[in-house]
Amino acid sequence: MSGDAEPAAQPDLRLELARTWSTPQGWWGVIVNVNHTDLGKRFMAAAAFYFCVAGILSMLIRAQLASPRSAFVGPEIYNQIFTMHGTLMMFMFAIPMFEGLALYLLPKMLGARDMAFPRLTAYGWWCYVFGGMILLASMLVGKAPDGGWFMYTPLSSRTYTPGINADIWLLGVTFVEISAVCAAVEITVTILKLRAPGMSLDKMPLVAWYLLVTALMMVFGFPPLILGSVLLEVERAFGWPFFDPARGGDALLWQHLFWLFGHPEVYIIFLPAAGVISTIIPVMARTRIVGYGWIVAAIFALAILSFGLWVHHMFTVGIPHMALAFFSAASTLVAIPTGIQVFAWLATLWQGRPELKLPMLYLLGMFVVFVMGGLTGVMLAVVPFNWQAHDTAFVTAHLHYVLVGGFVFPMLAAIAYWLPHVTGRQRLPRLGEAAFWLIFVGFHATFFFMHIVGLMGMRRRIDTYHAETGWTLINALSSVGSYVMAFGFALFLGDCLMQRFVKRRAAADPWGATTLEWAMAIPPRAYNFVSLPSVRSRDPLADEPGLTQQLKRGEGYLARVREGLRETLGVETSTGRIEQIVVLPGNSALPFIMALVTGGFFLSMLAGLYWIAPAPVLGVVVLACRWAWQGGARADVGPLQIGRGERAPPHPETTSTPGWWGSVFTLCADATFFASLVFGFAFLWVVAPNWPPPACIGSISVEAAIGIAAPMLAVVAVSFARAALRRGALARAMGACMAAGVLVFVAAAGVAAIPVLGKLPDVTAHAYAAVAGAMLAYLALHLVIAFVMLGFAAARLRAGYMSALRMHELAIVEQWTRYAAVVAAIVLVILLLSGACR
Amino acid sequence: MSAVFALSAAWLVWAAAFAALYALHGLGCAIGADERSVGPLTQLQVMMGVVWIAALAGSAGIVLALWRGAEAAPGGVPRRLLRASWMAALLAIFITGLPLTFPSACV
Amino acid sequence: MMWRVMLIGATGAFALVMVLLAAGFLRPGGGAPVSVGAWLGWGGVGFVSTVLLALLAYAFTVGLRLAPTASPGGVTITATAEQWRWRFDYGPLRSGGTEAIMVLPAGRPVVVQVTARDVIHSFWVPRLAGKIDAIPGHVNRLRLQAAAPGEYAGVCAEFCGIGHRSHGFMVLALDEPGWNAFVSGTDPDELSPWTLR
Ligand code: HEM
Ligand SMILES: [Cu+2]
Ligand SMILES: [Cu+2]
Repeated sequence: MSGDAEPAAQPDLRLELARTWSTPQGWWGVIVNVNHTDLGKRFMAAAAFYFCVAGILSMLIRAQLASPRSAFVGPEIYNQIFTMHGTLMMFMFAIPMFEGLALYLLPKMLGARDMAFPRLTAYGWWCYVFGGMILLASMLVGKAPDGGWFMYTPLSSRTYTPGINADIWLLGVTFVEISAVCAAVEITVTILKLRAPGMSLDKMPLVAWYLLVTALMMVFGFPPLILGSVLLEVERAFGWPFFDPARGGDALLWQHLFWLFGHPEVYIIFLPAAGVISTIIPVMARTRIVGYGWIVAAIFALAILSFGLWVHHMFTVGIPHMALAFFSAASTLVAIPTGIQVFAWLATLWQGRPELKLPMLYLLGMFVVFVMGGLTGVMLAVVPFNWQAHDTAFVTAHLHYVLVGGFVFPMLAAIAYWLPHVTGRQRLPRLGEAAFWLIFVGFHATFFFMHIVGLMGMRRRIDTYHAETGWTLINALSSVGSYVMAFGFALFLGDCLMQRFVKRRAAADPWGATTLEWAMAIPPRAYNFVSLPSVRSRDPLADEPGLTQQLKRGEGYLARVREGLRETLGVETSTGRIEQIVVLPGNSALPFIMALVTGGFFLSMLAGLYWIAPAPVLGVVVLACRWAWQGGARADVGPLQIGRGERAPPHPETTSTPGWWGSVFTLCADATFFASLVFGFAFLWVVAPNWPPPACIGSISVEAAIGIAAPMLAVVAVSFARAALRRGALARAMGACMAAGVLVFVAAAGVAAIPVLGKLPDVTAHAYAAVAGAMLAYLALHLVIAFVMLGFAAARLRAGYMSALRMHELAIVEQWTRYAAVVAAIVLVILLLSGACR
Repeated sequence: MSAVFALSAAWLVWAAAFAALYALHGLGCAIGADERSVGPLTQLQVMMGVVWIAALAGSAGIVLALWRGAEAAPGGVPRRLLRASWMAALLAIFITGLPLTFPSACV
Repeated sequence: MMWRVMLIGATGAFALVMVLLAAGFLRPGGGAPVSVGAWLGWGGVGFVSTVLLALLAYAFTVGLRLAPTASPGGVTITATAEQWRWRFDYGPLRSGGTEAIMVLPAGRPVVVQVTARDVIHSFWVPRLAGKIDAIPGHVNRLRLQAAAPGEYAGVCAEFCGIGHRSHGFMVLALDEPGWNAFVSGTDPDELSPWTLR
């Protein structure tokens, strides 16, 4: 093996690395690019674009509300404007912005060459682009969603929104959400596996902890909304009455699913920003963060508590007082870990000698705005007060204080801080400071007095008001403030763009930071590090002077290119011990094509061409197989030299691969989706009006027995295949996989028999049958997935991609087969029990 | 990963207790468990109280165990931190359960 | 009252953070390790949780008083919202219902049963009580009481489509004779809050 001999450092190492990691020029290069630096920048640029679009919409809102009885636009348009403002800001700006930042920074801060799944990065990017295009196009033709950013049913149901507006929201946002879940899985696995050797979890930079927790929250927080959107779209398209009270559905189910996502979402937006704050403050104060351990513990508390707050958005829906009190208590408790962080930042400033450089200035803005938003939030958690302030301008003010203070100001600080890293250049003096003051003053002018009109009774989401209300002056002030703020943002943007033209090179580590992203040439090369560091402390640049130069000289790990492969190191999740060489895929058009085909599915649903929809689904399956087929190895090579006299096996020869972990977290998201569906069933059964249903599921004991037993046998067969593979008995392993596939197929046939034999009552007649149908569909889908994967495994075995050493692919297939078996057991037992529905 | 579990465990117990209380409340009110009395309490109060006390006792037990036991660090997380997490979660379970003492459950 | 308490508390907390922040920049010295326990233990956990738990206790007690339990001498009225109308029915008290105007006796507790026929709306009379949602398929109860006869404006407080802005109604609180006339069938248009004036 050419790579096995260890040259001290390949003489033309940088050239070789550049060639291996490069992307072609031109359009083709744009399409096949999977590099995290480029895609991270694209995400951030696109998010900034959507911020501008949504910002312009908010200017329109303020123009409309500036004076009483304004006739600028009517309610039809106004409703679209504020709905799109909220939707774009939440889904197209905030989430993608931090995703972009994470994609750009994570590998660099962790000491890796790329993210764990580069093609997934690109797929997420294209989903975001296409989903965004759907939303933008709808706005241009005046058919944008108009039901408010939380799309309450029944207003968003077919009866009350007959047009395409609501479908745009449901499908467009779901499309973008796929991108978010991809990013979440990828961020989680990257942090757990692709760190620099020696970087045990407790030596990670704090922001990695923040991003890890955020990503995990997304894994569990997004599926409820995806489920809600799928159900609502199925109700709109096919008339399955999940939310229709006349047929046993319940509008409150949507609210639960939405806010089960929606509240954690607020923290999903806040936590990465808090990570940025915790990174920048110690650098600005020239010290180290105070209370690292406290902060980590607080983040976990915050993350989990935030899943227990969702009902505080539903304090007025008529939930009994005792239940409200549970949520009121949790909403109050969640402020404590937030308080810990604020005090940790203050303590860090006290411990150091803070300097008022530009990023710090924006963080001061954060302190003022965010703390105020937090305090009004605590007020809103008080139920009796909430009953007065709910749905008024007070809430609008509160939510902007939180989002702008907790996200926008920290992001501005982040841009000021890392822009020299991205461009390698310095900014012009003073411009950023002027922008800060415009934004800061404009913001308070816009939103502070909105608290007061809110308390005076001004509702949100109204397009005009009468002069007699006495709200005129405040609203005029607020509108003027918003224009001042807009000038500030324009100036900030101008400042950033200026760097294209003003060529003043930035110093290598302009802020005196101590994290690894500054231990490289800026602007960064596609491969990040010439050689990979070994980490011994939390602040490697401070504790190991000369590290940057050592890495550039190729004195770290992997200072070579083996057979033109893109390689980085994989470590054990907690200790950071070297475990494997992760071989990453190169440039590929597959993500683009896959996103295009996925988009085809969404478009056919949007256009109501339901008979076309199966074609893109089939396309996705085929492409997924193609995707998974690339990579892997057909021969065992054993541990290879990685430099510094150490060796590690390439990842296919290990068990704890990034792919295996990726599959675990995907299953976590999937299981959350399923759990939400089961929750929906229980919820409707207990709470919804018009139960019991007119007809129950017929006797399905035979179908259920087949559907439960066959997947269990398939699980046994796969274990057998694994054992055979371990012994090197390839033919047996292949036979066992095929047998398992047949068993899964039999199970699918058994499940399909239930509706085919007419044992499922009419799904459009009552929510009972609709949810039962949805559960069966979910089960069938997972049996099909298991079937395809088992076939895939057999083919891979046959083609020589597996051996007693290379077993991880089979392990992944085993996970999914087991999951299908568990789902089968749960769904069928539930259906058996619910046969007695009357 | 074990560190992630160690750091979340306390709060996952809180989340489980919270979810159980909320679910029991919804179910209990739907089946009228608040109208059937058991001694001075209602059936609903008894059901929810059992869950609450079990969660409290469970996490109190873990706090005690963390206090005694050897100075090992599960998943590489310092003891001190775990102890703080579990005590905070114990307190959180206590506070979130306080509404159980309200006189009426389903209005 | 509650509002004033919260405002003072919030202002105090905000001022504290700002003073600490300013001191971090302005005070001479710095660069010496600070005490983690003092900052995070006493400040982050101790201070924050004391304030919050006090507030929570207060909220619990106030909230309990507002529970919509029926009380003797009370009146029950059903409010039904729809795009974009409000209908009020008085059960056995009065045979005909009213539209856009809700009539109630001043000085007596009233329980309003709120529901909707199409989409979600919300029943809100800012001067009389907090809001409660009107949800199709559900009946929510809200307790309110008008201390004095008079007219009180009510609005829909949940976005309900094109007509949301002007989806309002009027509450007419009558004195005892006026109420008696109303329940015996007099049209509300012919009544004013004070019969005797
Ligand atoms: C740039 C300055 C901004 C201005 C001037 C602004 C202005 C407004 C106004 C006036 C409304 C109220 C519309 C109404 O209820 O009638 C609103 C709603 C909203 N804004 Fe903003 N906003 C800004 C930035 C943001 C940001 C950064 C976010 C989130 C990251 C955001 C998220 C929202 C959401 C979620 C709503 C609620 C939409 C709904 O009711 O459906 N806004 N904004
Ligand atoms: Cu919330
Ligand atoms: Cu309405």
